[in-house]
Amino acid sequence: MASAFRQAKRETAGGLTGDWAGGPWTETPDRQTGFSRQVTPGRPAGGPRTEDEMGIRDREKSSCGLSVTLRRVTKQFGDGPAVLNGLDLAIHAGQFVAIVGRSGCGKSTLLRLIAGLDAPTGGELLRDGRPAAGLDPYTRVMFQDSRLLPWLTVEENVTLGVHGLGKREAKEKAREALRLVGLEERARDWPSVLSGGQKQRVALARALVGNPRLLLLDEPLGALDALTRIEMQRLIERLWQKQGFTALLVTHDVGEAVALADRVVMIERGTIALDLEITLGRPRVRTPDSPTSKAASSTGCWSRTTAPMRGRKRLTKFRRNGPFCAGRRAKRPAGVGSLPHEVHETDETRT
Amino acid sequence: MQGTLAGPVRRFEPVLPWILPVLVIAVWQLLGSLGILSNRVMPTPVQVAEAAVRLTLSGELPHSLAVSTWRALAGFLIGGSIGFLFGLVNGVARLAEKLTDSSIQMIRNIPHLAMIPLVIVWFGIGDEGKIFLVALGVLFPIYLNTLHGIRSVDPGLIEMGRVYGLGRGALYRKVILPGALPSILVGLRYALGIMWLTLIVAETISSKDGIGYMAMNAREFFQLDVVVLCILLYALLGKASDLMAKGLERSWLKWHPHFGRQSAKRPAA
Repeated sequence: MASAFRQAKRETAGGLTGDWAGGPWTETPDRQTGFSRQVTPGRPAGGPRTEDEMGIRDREKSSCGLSVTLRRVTKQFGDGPAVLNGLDLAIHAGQFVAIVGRSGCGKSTLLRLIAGLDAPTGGELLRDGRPAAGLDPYTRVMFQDSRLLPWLTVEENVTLGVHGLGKREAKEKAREALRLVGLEERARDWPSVLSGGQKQRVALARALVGNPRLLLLDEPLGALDALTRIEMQRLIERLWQKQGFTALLVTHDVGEAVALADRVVMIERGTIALDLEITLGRPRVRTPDSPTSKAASSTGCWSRTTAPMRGRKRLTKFRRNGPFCAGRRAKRPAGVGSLPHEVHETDETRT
Repeated sequence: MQGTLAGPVRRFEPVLPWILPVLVIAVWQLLGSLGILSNRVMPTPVQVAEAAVRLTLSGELPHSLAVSTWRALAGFLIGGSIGFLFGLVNGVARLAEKLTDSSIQMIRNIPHLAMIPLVIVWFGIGDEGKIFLVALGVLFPIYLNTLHGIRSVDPGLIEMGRVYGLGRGALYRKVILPGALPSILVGLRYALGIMWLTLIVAETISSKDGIGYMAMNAREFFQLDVVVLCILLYALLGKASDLMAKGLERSWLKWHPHFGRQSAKRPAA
């Protein structure tokens, strides 16, 4: 009954005003289609997508994002065991991919390879279809520690990300980027007086100020408290939607991966153990009681892919009235929120 | 970190460091005037001041000061530059380090003052020998601290610089040098101390002018007031160079929570 009420409310809100600001509502996938275990490279972003998602978001992005393809990539340090073992992965332009896995599974190594900080021992790395070697000028990395230069002010730090512009223009761009992350008034401060969350916001501004085509996020929110983390997730999602770069997020927080990514890739023992499309609409806002956290905490069901998830288990529950909806309301046709969304699971979880 | 002083004491904060020296001088003068401290052992502060005025008027004191300062600074610049350059190159280039570091370490362990006899033979008792000794003494603390500073720059920051497209030059200017600066400045302060020490010893043993020579000359004529004046001058010169180094720290390390004024007002959140 409650859900019927919510349904009605949602439709009313959507239909009449184009406003999705309904109360918290649950989304129970009534179909479980698109079960896929994607390990084939070059497979286009599978899973059904709603028209509007394709239309608006993808059109903006395709011109901007960088596509990355890894073919049978191997990485070995010295004589040790291979950290990555014949890994195949294709990331499409503008996609938001999250990479999860236990610590030491090779996810950060993968990110470093894609960034060009390390070279693969074997296999091939392609950027936009061309073989890549070394660092890429269109790629930016956001690290777990903010890595701001303590001897430069916040603004000067952000200016580091600008290239090929005069001093004044660079400064203006830096200010603009700081405004985006809401730290314009701290421009002249030293990084040492900022809090951890603020430092990461500055790092995000520095990463985005150069309009990167690929943003690599190496557990950037791992050291932040829960509330700041959610705030930062929203910010990253919003800026990703706005700028349309390709994003690759390495995280150990499955909840975070599900909340942000189009696609979640799990790495285990140097290969992809699971490749999952997340086609839930955006913005996705986690409610405190949401089973997302359950899904996240039961990482077991992901990392131990053999563990069965019987029946139609609800994976996610999202509320769609986040404070950041406002900007997208106008763009999106009314009533989008009522379209069904699927949560894809693996064959294993289905058995 | 040190806390700030409490209310009433705080008003006198600038005076605090001077209380002890002033007290010592007052007691010293008192003991001398009362005859407890014989003039043959220790002249009173007033006598020393008189000597200072006398020597200033005769031009001997300004001349000696100028000569000594020139030697100190010349030696410091030469030795400091060499040490800094070696530190810089060895800090980033493995090959250079392999080639030179162990030799430098061996030379470093020779007490440079032990070379005075050799230096007199090589250079005589003119400026060159003193400058050489000062340069040699200053080189090592600067070298070691520059090397250590560059080594201890957070590799994460260098990596960040590379990802953000900084070229080699920019990486040096924006990341490596500023990161090594706190350590380099420690070396600088240490080297300034060694600079005066070396110079004084060298001038005392073999010279024809300078403060050290003035002191030795005064001893010959048993002018204890001049000897004590020279010793006090060393203290003042040492303090002056330390102030200079502190000033550099304050202006170059503004960003550092320990040195900067801005962050002193607003401690890290």
